[in-house]
Amino acid sequence: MSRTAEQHWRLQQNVTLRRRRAASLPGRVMVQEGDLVEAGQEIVRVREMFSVPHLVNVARRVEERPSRLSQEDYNVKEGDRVRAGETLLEVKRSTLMVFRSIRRAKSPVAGVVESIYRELGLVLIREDRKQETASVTLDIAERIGCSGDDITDYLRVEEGEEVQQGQIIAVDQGDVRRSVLAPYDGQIGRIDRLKGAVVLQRSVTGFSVDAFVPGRVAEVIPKRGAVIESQMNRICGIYGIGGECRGTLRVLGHGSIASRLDKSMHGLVLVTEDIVTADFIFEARQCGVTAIIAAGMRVDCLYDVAGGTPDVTIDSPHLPGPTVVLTEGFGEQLRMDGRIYAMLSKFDGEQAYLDGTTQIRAGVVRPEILLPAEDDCTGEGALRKAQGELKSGDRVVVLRGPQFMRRGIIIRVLHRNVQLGFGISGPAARVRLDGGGEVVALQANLEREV
Amino acid sequence: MHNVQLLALDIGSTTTKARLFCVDESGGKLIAAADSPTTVEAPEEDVMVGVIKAVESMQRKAPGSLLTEDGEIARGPDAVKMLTASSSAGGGLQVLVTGVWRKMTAESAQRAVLGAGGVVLDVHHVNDGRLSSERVKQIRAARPDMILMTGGTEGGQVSQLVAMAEWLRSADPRPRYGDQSRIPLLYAGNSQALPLVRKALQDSVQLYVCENVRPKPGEENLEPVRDRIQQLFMEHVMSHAPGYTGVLQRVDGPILPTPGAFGIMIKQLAEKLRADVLGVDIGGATTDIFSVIGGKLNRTVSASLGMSYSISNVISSAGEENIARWLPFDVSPGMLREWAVSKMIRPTTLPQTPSDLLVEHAAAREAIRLALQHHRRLVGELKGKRRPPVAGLLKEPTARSELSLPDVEAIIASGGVLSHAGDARRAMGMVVDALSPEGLTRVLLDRGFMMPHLGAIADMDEDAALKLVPQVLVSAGWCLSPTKNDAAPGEVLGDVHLRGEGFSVCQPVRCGEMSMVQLPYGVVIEVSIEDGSRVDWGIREAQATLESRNKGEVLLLDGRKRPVGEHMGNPPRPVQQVSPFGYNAEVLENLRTGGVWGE
Repeated sequence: MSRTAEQHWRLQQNVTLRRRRAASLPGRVMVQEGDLVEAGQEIVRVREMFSVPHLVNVARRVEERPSRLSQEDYNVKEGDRVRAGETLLEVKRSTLMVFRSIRRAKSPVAGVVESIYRELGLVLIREDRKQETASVTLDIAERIGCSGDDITDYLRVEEGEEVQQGQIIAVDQGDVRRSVLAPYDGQIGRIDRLKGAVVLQRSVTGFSVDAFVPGRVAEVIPKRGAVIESQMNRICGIYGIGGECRGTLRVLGHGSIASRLDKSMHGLVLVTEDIVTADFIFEARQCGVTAIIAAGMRVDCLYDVAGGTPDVTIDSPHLPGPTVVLTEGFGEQLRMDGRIYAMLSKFDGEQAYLDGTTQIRAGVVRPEILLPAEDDCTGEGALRKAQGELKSGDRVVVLRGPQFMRRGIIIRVLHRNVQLGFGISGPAARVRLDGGGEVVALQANLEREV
Repeated sequence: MHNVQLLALDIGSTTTKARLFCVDESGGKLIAAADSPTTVEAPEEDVMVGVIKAVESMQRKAPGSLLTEDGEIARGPDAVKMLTASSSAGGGLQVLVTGVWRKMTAESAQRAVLGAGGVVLDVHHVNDGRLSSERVKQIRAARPDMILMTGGTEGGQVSQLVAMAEWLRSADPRPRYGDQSRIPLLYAGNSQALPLVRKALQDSVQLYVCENVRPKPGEENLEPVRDRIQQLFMEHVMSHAPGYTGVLQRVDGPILPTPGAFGIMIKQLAEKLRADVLGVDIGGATTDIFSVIGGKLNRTVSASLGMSYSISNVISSAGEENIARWLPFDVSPGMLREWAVSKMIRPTTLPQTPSDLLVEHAAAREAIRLALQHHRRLVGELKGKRRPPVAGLLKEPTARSELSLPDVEAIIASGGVLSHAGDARRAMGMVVDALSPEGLTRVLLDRGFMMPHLGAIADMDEDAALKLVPQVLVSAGWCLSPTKNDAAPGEVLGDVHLRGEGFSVCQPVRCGEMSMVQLPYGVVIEVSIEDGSRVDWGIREAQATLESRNKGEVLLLDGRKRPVGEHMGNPPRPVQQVSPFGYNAEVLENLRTGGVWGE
């Protein structure tokens, strides 16, 4: 079952979940089919080693029109391997029979000359991964035209500074502006004032995808990852902040929870039956709490947590911890669904796996809480579907209007187009509310209780 | 033509909408309509399952048999004569666009994609500030259906195109469907760069070539690109989508992207009316604006303006105060945000109370207003066009490209919030307040979401589609408003006389005010404006003729300054400015005196 298809279920007990754990880029798969894996175990490891194309405008570098460059001017041909700094094109021109100028265009990186577009004066160097060096030396003094001691006057970076490809490393603002740009992302390793050079360490960034939940490798996806199968209890939230995490569940119960936070809660997943406040989230962040599961929060709280005016768009914000999963929604008078709370209470002190990722759009993705199923479970247990056709006797939650988040029981389903006044109409149902009173609500605004 | 049965399908992301029409010499008729969940995803992974279910549901109302004993769509003179389809399932046609300069070729390319009914996933242009590695990674991750590569006017830029081609080659982009196949790339750039682009990309993509989308700085050539995109959508995208081969085998024409079909129909109507036409399609996630200006179709998609999935973004983009200005009662910003987020996280819920409905209608006004702003930005005068050195010396008439509201004769509006408004006048109110039409403008509503069906039919048989228009579009009425109005508030702008058989009305129009006149059904009405020279009414000699063909049509005499939203004054909005749009004044008054909504 895909994650999207699972969104119809608010609570699933003892179900077999298949999770695709794959990287967006090709990498090395670290597991084999049938392997038992732990939650934090690496499934695929990716080292971002693009063979970046460097299109060098050699004509411009030697200040010549492409049409004036002869085949002999090019020092390289397609397929040649070049080192960083190697000359690609050399133009010797004599002027007034006295001066002879030599201008060169050099390769910014080590790699292979993949294409030469002579009509445009362009040379394409494809960085060769095998030849890729961890660092490159940029000859600032030569490029700027100064002595090694003087490069400080032209440098725009310091040792240890992170730079991005294209960023100015050194610049001479004189009559003829000359600049040296970073050929790729990296960090300034060393500034050699004797040689007038800067050593740029290449950023070799990589990432890996872990199993997220303990389970068995059901299928290996070549170069991308694997499908992990596990037996779980699954709770589907309504809105989440933050991404994947795991930790020990600690149920805080009902009532004021703020006073109960302390440093001993580092790494825990806290559960409250009520709403959560921005202050509590900030304090939990200080205490190193991994995640918070709550019935809901005020919308203002979301704005506070997101920092100022949040861009509350269709994707939930990914903010520095803790991950927050709301089970009911936004508002003040919210209480967690009884069965969800009971399930979480049952697992108090156990490991929980959470993903706050929420995408509200077609093919909606809701946040989820996964709790390991009992060892003796044999298959799917009681399932509760939040959507589907309503019938008399169903326990429901009202999602719109003055009875927002009130719970009750359907006493009659009104299939026809019921007129609710003011031009509002549609299939509706009569609901007897807990605590007294009845309401006729549009079926679109009723959600079956878990 | 004898009683031809037309079956039109629109396969959406969540719902497959089947409509059965009958067309003969005298006109067209909607016979049956049925919706069924779209079955593009697991467990069915075959759209035909949903299609057959929808057709099955219509069988009871159909005069003949729609399905054979084998469960196939029955074809023939007594069954389905013509079968058409449009689709937006799986997010529709998703295109990655590349260009050289954002304001030039990249924008033209974007317009071509949108006009073809596509979704622009990303626009890469050489001056977008992306690092090479970043660009390569993003192209690789995008998984579009196809790539549209543009850049350079004829004889212009070449090297930047080669650079872009090299980036594309490095990314080795993969199509969304069909993992093993090469992605189609449509090249519509400088033809001189083609050999070099071909050399760079020959092993990475399936290269198709089309005329330059921007042959000259001041010239745009969108049609060939649009046609080719739709053709490639059929050949390469639909053929790989789950179950679409079955649909392709059965339909009589191409499967069109849903917004593309909508656009075809808007264009048809504009041609029929010989006027500029504006179209709005407000959905849960996006709002599309279509315009036909001087015969040229433009479309923009505002991807984050919608009534459910993107409702929070509507509130934050418009500002709470701009939502509040449309409401007849006070509302706190906090509660508006609370309302929007609750609607966003439960997008299928519907308004349950009058105040809830009014807030939703206020948000719709802002979503449409912002979408029109977006449209105007994208559809304006071509950037890079050379202007004559001295204004006015250029005698040669140039094709109009900018939207001029007095030239718009009809607005066609579609979308759930309009269809479920409870009254056509409410939908008209939302459209008029948001778009601020000028002159005499008719407002037509697509209450059954059938414009795409008509567009797909029009693509095969224009006459049949036009005969079906009265079945699909319901006229809410007309709006008459001055185009230039610098009068003082309350000042009489003119007396509007309406005269027809057994019908005569004289109504003064005051600056800042509006009134609604109920038009008698089936009567030809002469409109004339007396003492109206104070302002420009946007109609020739201040005279026009109307014929009401739907019961309940109205003429809105709108003396409010344009744009309406900017001249609303402080909230709350007076009840008398809300009630004409079909809301019960007593309920509005109770809401107004009931305190701040949500507190």
